[in-house]
Amino acid sequence: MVNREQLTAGGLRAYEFGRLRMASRVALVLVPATAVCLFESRGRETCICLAFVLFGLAIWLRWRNRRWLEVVTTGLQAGSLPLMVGLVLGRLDVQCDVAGAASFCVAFAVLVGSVAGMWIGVRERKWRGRLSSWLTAGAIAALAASLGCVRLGALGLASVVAGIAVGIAVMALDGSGPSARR
Amino acid sequence: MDSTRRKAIHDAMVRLSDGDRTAFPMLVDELWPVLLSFARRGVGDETDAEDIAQEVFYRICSRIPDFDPSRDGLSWAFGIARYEIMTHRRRRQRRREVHDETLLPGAEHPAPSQEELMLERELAGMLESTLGALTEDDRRSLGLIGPVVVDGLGGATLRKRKQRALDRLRDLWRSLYGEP
Repeated sequence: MVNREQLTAGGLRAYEFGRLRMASRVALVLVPATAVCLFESRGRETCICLAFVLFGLAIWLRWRNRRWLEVVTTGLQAGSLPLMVGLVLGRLDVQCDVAGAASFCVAFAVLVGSVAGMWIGVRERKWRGRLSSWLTAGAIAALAASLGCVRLGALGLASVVAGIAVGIAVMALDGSGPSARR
Repeated sequence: MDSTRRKAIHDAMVRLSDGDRTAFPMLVDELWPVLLSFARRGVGDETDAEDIAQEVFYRICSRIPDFDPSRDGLSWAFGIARYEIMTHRRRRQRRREVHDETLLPGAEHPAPSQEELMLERELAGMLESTLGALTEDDRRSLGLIGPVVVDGLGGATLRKRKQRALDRLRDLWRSLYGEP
């Protein structure tokens, strides 16, 4: 005769393992992005650190429940644009810390970051996301963007993050922002 | 199976796939008796049925995060259970075959049991549907329809065709029922 408690414990363990497996599938997106970042000559160590933080955060959130899974998806989608742009600018050897290119680079980084932030607003409005979801999606987007923008220098990275914050703020203040529930 | 229980199982699965762990006791209460009786019907032996039902339950739990809420939860669970029961039967059949081979010559073979007959019928049905999926040329090469000998073709060509038809039959079987 099967013990009910044992069955529940075993089932719950299998369920959690299944959730972890499902959550880990985010690696299919993050590993190639990290690999591209690692091929670059500058900022490899920072890239590895950021990738680890992003990977851990993404898996933990996706493991929790579907709402957070959607938040991670939103964040990664939003962060993919600045990531790509950062990689392209890095290839062109553009650096925001270098005099001459600074104003152009900063403006461009803020613009790209704003687009990413607005995308978070659009998606989270659709899902009727809470403030915490908007902020977490923003953090994920910032981390993903950092993988590409790390070669732009500290100023470039800060500009992208600021852009994301501006984009989110614009969407939040424009009419139906995040739900008041926490 | 009453619709209330069916709905309760589905709801618990949807909640769990969303990450709501509080639905777990409900899943155990509603799904476990159904799985156990399904395994009893499929296997016959009480101890084996419990083991298989437990295995199936764990398998279902580990796959709930991938559950598509637009599907019926119970049918999905039965799909997994059916596969496990089939695997168990095949394993047992294989064990029995090995045991039969080790029997002394002349030993008396008992008449096949009801379960063995059912398994045989099931295997025959599976083979029939696989053969049905082959092309007419392949079936002819295997000698299932019409004459095998075709004018103008040598023995080596026919053997090669037969071999290819057998390979395709194996591939089809694998794609339909997994590794034999």
